[in-house]
Order: sequence, then structure tokens, then C-alpha cells
Amino acid sequence: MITVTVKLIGDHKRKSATFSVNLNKEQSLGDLLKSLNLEIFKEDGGLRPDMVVIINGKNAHFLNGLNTKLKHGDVIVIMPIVVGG
Amino acid sequence: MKGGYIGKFLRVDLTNRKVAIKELEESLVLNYVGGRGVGVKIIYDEVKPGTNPLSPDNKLVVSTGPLTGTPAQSCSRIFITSKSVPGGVHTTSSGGPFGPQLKAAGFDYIIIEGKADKPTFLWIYDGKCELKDASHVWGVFTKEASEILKAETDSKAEVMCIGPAGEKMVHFASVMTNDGFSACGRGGMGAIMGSKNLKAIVVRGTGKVNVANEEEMREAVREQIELYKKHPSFEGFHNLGTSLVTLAFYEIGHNPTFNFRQEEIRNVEIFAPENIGKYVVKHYGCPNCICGCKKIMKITSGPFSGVMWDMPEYETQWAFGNNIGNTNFESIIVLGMLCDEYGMDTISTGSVIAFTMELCELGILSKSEVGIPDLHWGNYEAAIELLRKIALREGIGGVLADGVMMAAQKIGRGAEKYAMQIKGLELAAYDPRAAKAHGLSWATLSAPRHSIGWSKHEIIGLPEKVDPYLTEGKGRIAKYNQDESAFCEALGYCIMVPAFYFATDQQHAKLAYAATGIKQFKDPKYLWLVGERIINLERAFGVREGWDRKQDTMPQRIVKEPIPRKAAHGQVFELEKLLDDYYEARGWDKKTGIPTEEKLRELGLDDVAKELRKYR
Repeated sequence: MITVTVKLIGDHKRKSATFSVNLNKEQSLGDLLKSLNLEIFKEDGGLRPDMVVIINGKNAHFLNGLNTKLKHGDVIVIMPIVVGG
Repeated sequence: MKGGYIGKFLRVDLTNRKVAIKELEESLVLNYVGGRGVGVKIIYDEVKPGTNPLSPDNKLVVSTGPLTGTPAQSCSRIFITSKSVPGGVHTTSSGGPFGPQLKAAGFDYIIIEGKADKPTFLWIYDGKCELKDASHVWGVFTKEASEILKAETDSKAEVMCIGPAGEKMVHFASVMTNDGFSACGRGGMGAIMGSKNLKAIVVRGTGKVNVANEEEMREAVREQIELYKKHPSFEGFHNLGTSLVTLAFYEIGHNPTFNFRQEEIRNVEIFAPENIGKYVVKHYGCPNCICGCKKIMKITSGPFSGVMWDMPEYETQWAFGNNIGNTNFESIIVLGMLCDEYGMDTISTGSVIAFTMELCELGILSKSEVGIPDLHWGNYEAAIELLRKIALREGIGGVLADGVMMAAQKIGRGAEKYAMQIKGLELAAYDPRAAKAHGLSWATLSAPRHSIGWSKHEIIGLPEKVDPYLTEGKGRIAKYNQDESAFCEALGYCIMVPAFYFATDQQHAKLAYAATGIKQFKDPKYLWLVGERIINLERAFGVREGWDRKQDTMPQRIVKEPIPRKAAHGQVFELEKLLDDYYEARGWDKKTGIPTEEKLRELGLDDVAKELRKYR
């Protein structure tokens, strides 16, 4: 069993939240996101274009995407796509 | 001119109190388009190397782009270009109705030179310009000065003015527009206006900006709006503006804390977008922009109850928030308001305060030197007091008002290590270690403005996904973002458009052609070339000032201290490797960082190539 921290960053529709999730060791980011039942997937199973998932500060896209294996202590941030201000 | 341009500009000689109305030159427009491009070209040609930026010999160019005042979206901008106080040629801009109003009054741009013998403002109305006495508003806050000048001239006029900080030549004084709510913030343009005894420019026009082909324009704008609405960030940006960014950037390590020490911040959740949204009482935006990203906020309880002001943008939230260890959002609204009223750039002011807090913590500055008890991280009351001292150059404020680079030189005792600046301009709300193409853009620009080089590639993955931590290929990405922002700002766009990738280069070209009828503008490649020409001319300006590769640098903290936070953990900025890659992508000499003769000729800058020979 491993424990990861999930941080949701809100916008005008969603609220921000931080919580812990226990996972089996072999679970992937995709498994975690599906178990959270958030409306962040497109019909084809990919992530919605307005959402970004960050694992320990790095966009999951530059890791192994939804197939990235999670480790104990990982911090997963699910946030709206933003660029600057 | 078929459209887009008015075809006239003003040359104002403050010393001799003379105003001349001139015709726009076609070659200037073809090579530099407008806005930032025209500003940079005029400053390059007319401000000699070695000119003191705060002397009468420096000039200011206040300019619009050909899309300003047309139905094209996100082009209600005004650009100010000058030899900035830090020394490079610098363009800063603001949104709001000033730009369209200047064109409605009959001018594409204004060149301001010399120095008035007493406080003066320019009154520009329907093709005319007068110099008027501004003694009665000298020393007055920006919002109040704007209101007084409008009451005296025309209630529908737009005002660009400086506050007490500009008058006292605080090196990072801003120029405020939009009744004190919007800033041409960076590079000390307010100090330059102050050095010329120029308090304000007031404009009122009833004219119209013609476009070359109205039907094509309508169609291009319809397409532009469609593209905006399809963009994944549009809805969030429309509803929350740049407040959408703060917490998200903190989580990716791109929102530096404690003067870039990058330690974790307690209570950072107060920056959750929905929490910030609670203060919004009004949504508004610039003319002709469906983004409507600006907000008015109100504080209804606590010590700042009663304050109603413009929403602090992401940069300001950072400058007076995480960078000084402060998570009291209401105090951030107030610190932002005070900067607007005194007329000071929020980014540089926050950076100077963070620098001072760190020096106090380390004992480099003593409490008696600073004159404020308890100036420590997160103490927003002490920050408010320090802000006031800086704006009025009182006590230690007189040293700090010169910016962190010069203040560190004066303070000595190793203070330079904590001065977070490049080429004398304070770093903004991003960590170069956490997005390296973005950092590389800053390291290499003539003036490392916050908004240039936002690397959409590294953050949102548009138009291509690029790993933010890798060094390979970052020269090409930095060049892309710099060139794109330069031609967009020449056309008159808000920097948010290229930053978010709201529209493509084909769309920009379509709008530019519909507005002006200039066939060269129809080709996106032509516009990219204009962008590259502007960046090379900015670079050449720096070379004439004696700048080379040595000035393309980063604070030691960014190069040597790995980020300790979990986000972007262990990252440093690999300066030399990144610079090599950049110069190669640019076609500049790797050893000196000077554009090669071949590159300058390729861009049609033969005279510049000749002029730079003696600096090689």
C-alpha cells in the first residue's frame, strides 16, 4: 500500500481541495484519476484539454502520461490549464 | 494609408515648448509595423549611445499599432518605448481605452523630447496638441490627478499620468492609465516622464479608425472570436483573469517564494482561484476584447475594509504575496493600490521589499538603517511602510528607490548576492529554473520584461509540448516566443494573445491585412521577420551601450542554488549551455552575443551592421 497526496486547484466552477489517497503499489496515474471520479476525461479516455496533471511539480505529459506509475509520497496536482499573468 | 493607420504623428519638444504634426513614413511602417516596433526604431535612431536615461536627451515614444482602435480583439493597447532607466531599450504597455482614444484624436504615435521648465501636461484633442501647466496636480496620486485633468479638459478624455514616485524619479516608477487602474509598469518610464517634468498626457478624439476592407475585417474578427472561445483556457481566464494562475504556478514551482529562496509557504491555499474570486464585485475589460479579464475588488471587513480597487494581477499577487512571504490577500490588494496611486511598478517594488527583508534577516541591513521595526517575511504592515518610504525616497527608501542592483552596490556587504535582477531590471513572478526557455528569454532580452517569453510550450504545451526542465532546444523556443511577442506588440496586440496562443499567426496576418491593406502583412512569415528585426535592433541598441554576452546573465541564486521545494526540486538554470544554444538559434556570435553581420543584413539592417563593426 502507498499513500499519495492529491491537490485539486479550482476555478470559477470547481473548488480547490487537498486530500490523501491510498493505492495499491502497481497503480498508475490513470487508475488514480479514474478512481477519483472527476470530470476530467474526454470520451476517448484522454485528459480534457483544459486540465493539466502535475506529479511532483512536473507535467505528467513529460513522464509517462496516464501510464505513469505512482510512488509513495507523490504529490499529484490537478489544475486548469494556465500560462501566465 | 488605406486603413489601420491614421497617418500622422506628433513630435513634442518640451524644452522649446513646440509641437509639430508630421506624416507617417511608409518605410517605417513596412519594416516595423507600429507599437513596439516603431518605438524601438525611433529610440535606436534618435537616442545616442551613452545617453543618461533621465536626462533631457532621452526620448519617449508613445505608440499604437495598426490594429489598435479597429474591431480586432485584444488590441486596445498603448506602448511606451524609451531608453529605460536600467539602460536597455524597453517597451512597456497597458490596456484600456487610451490607445484607441489617441488614434481617435488623430495620431498613431507621439515622440516626446527635451524637458519642460515646469510641471506640464499634454492636451491632445481632435488633431491638435497643447502644452499646459500641471503645477496644481504635481505631487498628486494618479487616480486623483486623472480625475482632476479630465474635469478640466473633457470628461470623456483618457489620461496617462505619473504619480509622486515618477516625480521623484524612483527608478521603477510606472505610468498609469485607465484612471489609475492600468500600468505601463516596467523599466521606469514614470521616472523618465518625471525627469521631463511631464505629469500627464490627456487625449480626447471623436474620429474613427478606418479599415482597408471592412468585410474581410468582420470575417477575420468573427474567426478570431471563435478561436478564443474554443481555447481551453478562455473560460477560466474570462471569469478569473490572471488570478487563475497563482496557486497553479506555485504547485509547479514556477511561483518563486521568499526572494527566490523557494521555500514552502504556509497558508498558500488562500491563493485558490475561488477564494480570490470572492473579492470580485465587477468584471470588466478593454474595449474590443471579449476576454474581459479585468476585475474590481472590494474589501468589506478587517483593517482594510472600505478599499475598492482593481484586482491585483498575478504578478502583483506574487510580488506582495509569496515573494515577501505574505498570505494576507487583502493586504496584497492594498499594496497594489498604493503602487498604482504612487505610480510604481508592483513587480519591482515587491522585489525591492523582498530583497530588503532578506538583508534584514541576514543582518546585512540593521533595523536602525531601515527605520522600520519588524521588517520580516510576511509582515505586510511593515511592507506598506517601506513602500511609502521608497515612493517618497525617504530614509532607506532613497537607496532602495534606485532598484535592487544599484541599491546592492550602495549597501555593499555582500548584498549583491540577494539582488534578483537581470540587466538592472528586477525578476518577475516566474522561476527560470522551473521553465528554462522562459528563463532564457529573460536572460537574453534587452529588457527582461515579465511578460515576454512566457513559455506556453513548457507550461501548457502549445503549439508544441516541451519539457520545462530540459536544456536542449531551448534557444529555438526562446527565439520563437521573443519574435512572436515582438511582432504581436508591433501590431498592437495584448501580450496575452501570443502568451495563451489564443490565435495563430495566420489569424494575425489576416487581421493585419484586412485593417491596413498592406499586402506584405498578409504573409505570416513577413510578420515573423518583423519580429526578428525588432529583437535584433533592440540587441544592437544594447551592443552600442557596451553590452555583450556578459550582460546575458542570471542572479547567482538561480544558477547555483537548486530549488529545494518538491515542485521542480533540484533544478538550477544552466546558463552557459542555454546561452550557446540561443545564440546559435539566433545566428549571433557565440563568443560575444553580438548579431553577426550576415544576420543583420538578412534582416535588412545593413546600416546597423556597419555601425556595430566597431563593437566587435
